[in-house]
Amino acid sequence: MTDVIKCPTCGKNNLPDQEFCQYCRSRLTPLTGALKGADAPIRPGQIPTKKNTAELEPILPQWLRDARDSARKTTENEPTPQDKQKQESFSASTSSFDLLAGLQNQKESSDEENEVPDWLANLTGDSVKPKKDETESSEVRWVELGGEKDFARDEESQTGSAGETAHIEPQSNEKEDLSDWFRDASGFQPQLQPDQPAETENSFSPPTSDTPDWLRKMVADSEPQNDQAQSLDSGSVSAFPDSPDWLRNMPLESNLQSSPAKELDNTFDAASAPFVEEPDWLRALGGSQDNVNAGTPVDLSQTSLGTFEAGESSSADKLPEWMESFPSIESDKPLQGTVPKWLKEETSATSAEAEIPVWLSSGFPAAEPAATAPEKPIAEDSSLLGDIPNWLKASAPQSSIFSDEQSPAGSLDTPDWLKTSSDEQQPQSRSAFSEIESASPAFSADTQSSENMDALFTDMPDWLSKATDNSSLLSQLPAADVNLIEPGELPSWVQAMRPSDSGNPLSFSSDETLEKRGALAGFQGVLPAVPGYAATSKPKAYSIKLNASQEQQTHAAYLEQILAGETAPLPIASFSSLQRSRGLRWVITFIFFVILTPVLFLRTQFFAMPVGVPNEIGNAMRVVQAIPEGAPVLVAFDYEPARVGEMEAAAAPIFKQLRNPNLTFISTNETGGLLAEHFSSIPLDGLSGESGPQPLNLGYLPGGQMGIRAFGENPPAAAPFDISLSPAWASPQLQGITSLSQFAALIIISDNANSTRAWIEQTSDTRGAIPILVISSAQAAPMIQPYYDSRQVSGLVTGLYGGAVVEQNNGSTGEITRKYWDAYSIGMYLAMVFILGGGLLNLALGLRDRVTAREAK
Amino acid sequence: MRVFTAVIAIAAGALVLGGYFLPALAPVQTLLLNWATILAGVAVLVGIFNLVSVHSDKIRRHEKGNAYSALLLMALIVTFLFAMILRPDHIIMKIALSGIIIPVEAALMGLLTISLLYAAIRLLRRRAELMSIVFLITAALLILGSATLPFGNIPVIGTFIRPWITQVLALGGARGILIGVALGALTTGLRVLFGADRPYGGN
Repeated sequence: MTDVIKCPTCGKNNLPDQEFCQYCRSRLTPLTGALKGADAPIRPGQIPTKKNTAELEPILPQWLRDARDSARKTTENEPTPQDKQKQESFSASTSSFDLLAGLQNQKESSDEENEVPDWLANLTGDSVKPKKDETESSEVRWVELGGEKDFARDEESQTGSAGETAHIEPQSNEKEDLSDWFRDASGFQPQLQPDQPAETENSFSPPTSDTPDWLRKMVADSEPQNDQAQSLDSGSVSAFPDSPDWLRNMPLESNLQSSPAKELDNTFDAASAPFVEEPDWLRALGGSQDNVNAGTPVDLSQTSLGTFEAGESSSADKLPEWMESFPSIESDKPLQGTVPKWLKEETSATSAEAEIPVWLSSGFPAAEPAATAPEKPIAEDSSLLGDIPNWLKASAPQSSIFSDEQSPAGSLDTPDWLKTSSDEQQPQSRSAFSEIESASPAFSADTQSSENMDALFTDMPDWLSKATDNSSLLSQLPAADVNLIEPGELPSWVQAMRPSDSGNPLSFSSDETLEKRGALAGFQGVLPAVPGYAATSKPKAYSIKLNASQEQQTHAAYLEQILAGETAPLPIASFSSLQRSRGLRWVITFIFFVILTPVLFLRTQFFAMPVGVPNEIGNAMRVVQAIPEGAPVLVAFDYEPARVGEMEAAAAPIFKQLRNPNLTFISTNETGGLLAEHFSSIPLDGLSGESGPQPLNLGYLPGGQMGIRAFGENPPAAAPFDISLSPAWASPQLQGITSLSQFAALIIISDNANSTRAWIEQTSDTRGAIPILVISSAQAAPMIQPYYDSRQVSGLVTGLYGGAVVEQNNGSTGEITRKYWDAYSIGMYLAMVFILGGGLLNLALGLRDRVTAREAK
Repeated sequence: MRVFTAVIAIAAGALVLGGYFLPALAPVQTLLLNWATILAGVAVLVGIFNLVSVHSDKIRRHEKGNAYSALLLMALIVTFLFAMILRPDHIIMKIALSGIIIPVEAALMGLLTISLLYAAIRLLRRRAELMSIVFLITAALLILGSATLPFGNIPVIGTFIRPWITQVLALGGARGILIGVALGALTTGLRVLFGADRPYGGN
């Protein structure tokens, strides 16, 4: 099984000599084999062997080849011991990255340049990297730290017995604290320091591209002066064996110089202090041990030459001859006298914070002791002034020590050296160099020697540095205006940037108004503050009246009309209301009265009585005729007095057919009892009582349908008394009768269909088989007719027409209906004429009105 | 209180309805119906008292037509006193009925006749539509069919059209109305029994 190869794709076995799978045609063996021999990877702990990658050189990009070439040149030309050591320590890593081997040196150099300063590393907790060699100038140290603690540290280094190297290393460390641009700015300083080894100059040659413009300009401006200084100081630097050629040639030239020339040289060097950004006294303190021994400061009040000598000499052995001409001055000044007392005290108090600048340590709790420094009594500081030389007073940044009269109090957050503005220092420096200023215009830059310290520290741009040329304007400004701003309100860096401190008010416009307060103090032409602004005149009043042309007003009127038309309610198409025609009513009434009244009174009989007997009337006649003689008959009077004429005329013929009836009247209407009495007064045969008993009137039966039902169930209980309040059921008419079914018939005289229906329905289960005869008005007949058709009602006589039919068929002479029949017939015809004639006339009038209305629309 | 009245109404209705189906509940049904009859009679008295109160208030406030109110109250009181003292079958009461009540109401019926006739004349001017015309023609035919000519009934109209209209068309419409009324009464009764409608109050 080991001779076969399993396909990684399909998993099937293949012969070992096959390159592709015979099933899925996928490759069995990979194209790239395992790394063997020279291609084997480097294992941990193994030192890689250097390879010749020259054949790969052409394929590199141009920028990489250039970088490699420059790296090789740098390595070959300047193989510093530290670089060699670093190369050895990182040889393993660099060999692994062969193609980038040439860049390693550059990377290292750049890393060294970009190293984190010690003080910053201490803050962040990072380990401090090995410092670069001591080739950097120590003159920048004061500028970087700028605090009195730094002086104390230098003093310790001076008082100690450490060698030169021990003193140089702290300086170099502090040099690492400097930013790149500042380190670049000090790159030309070795030209003025003959004790610097020549080989370190390369380490201080920064790329020009990284140098700020203003700094390059400063270098360009200082080069002629440096050349002049070099030419004058050649004698002083000839003692250095490692000095360059130009420096060694200087003594020959210096011998030819006279003392005024030396004075000028010293003056120039002092003037160049702002460019190197380190005062002479600091150069003497922080330079080297030799500087401490030989750097005796010279009081400028006595001679101006001391300003140069103190800073230039690095050791007594290397002092130039022209510098050795001042032994008496140096011997008069004790070594300790170069350091002021306040500096010594501060050193002891803040030795633990020596590496942290005061301005930086002020932001931390541990830096509080530094903040207490300004609280020292002025008298004590004044007592210390006696120990400070004049040249140090002129250049010392701690102006508060020398002149505290104008220093604001209570600014604990601001460092001491920053509290004092450069303006306060200028009078002293200018007084010290008053003679020199008049002699040389180039010395004008010296007036800003202390200002540039702050300016360089705060990264002041070149335009702002140039602005200090107008120091005369600043001198004219009242100092009180500057001091109006409380230092505690502004951070230190803002104070440093204030143009008032720089002594040159800036103006960006034609407005010459000088800003005196706030962060913009010193600026001219700034926008005025709000409180100072006030309206100068009353706002103009504008009329609210609409200024519209005639055409616009016309259009607006049209729009209003359209809107009014939209909102106006539309009249609904309807017929015009007809006015009441009282004349017509009176005409109709008059005609009826004129025609019918004579007919009624004359009892004319022109019209024939109806012919034919309807079924309901015929059945009613048969029911009446079937009522036995003297049988009890219950009669319900449920009609209104208004229909007495119709109802009595319709019922009278029926009652005329009864034979000695035993009538009992009852009514569900309040007036029914009276109407029954009125009906009984009709001189009829059946109602007269002449041939039978008098009718019994039970009167009003209350309760409507319930009363009818109660009466049907128990008549004596529902209506126990008659209309005269006599016991009804004990009367002879009702003897032996206790229920509704004992009556022979039920006659309902009603003009209301509901009352008729109530009698029919509510007595249906209690009346038994007694017949119900309904005498109704003509208007209620259609509603009662269904009960007749359903056999619930035995007979139906409706209106005058039914009474006339009954009367016509019962053989009577027409006593009641006949006297009304002519008037009734004439009235019917008149009504028909009025309805048809008036209807047609009004129909025509209505059509005319509609046509007129359409035409009007 | 609303529940209490509803319970009383529903219970009374259920007992009366049950009396039609259960003979045992017949006495209760009769008792309840008698109570209802008494209450109806009392309601008439209450109505009379209300009438007196309203018109008395009109007289006291000297409102418009207070003279008619005074006349009404006087007639009411006189009639009541005469009816209570003389009884309704007294001749004075018959004269009062025959000389006042019947002629007045008959006169109102005559005015109604004139008004209906006047409205029928003006109907086509206000509504000249088919139904109006049909309505007027039907009325004219019935009126014409109810009357007679000097020589007898109007042919066709009095012998065929009028009976057909009253016995067929009017009967059909009347039956429909009665059936509708019966269904409405049944529904109303059920709603009252179930408490959906509370005509006795309590919504």
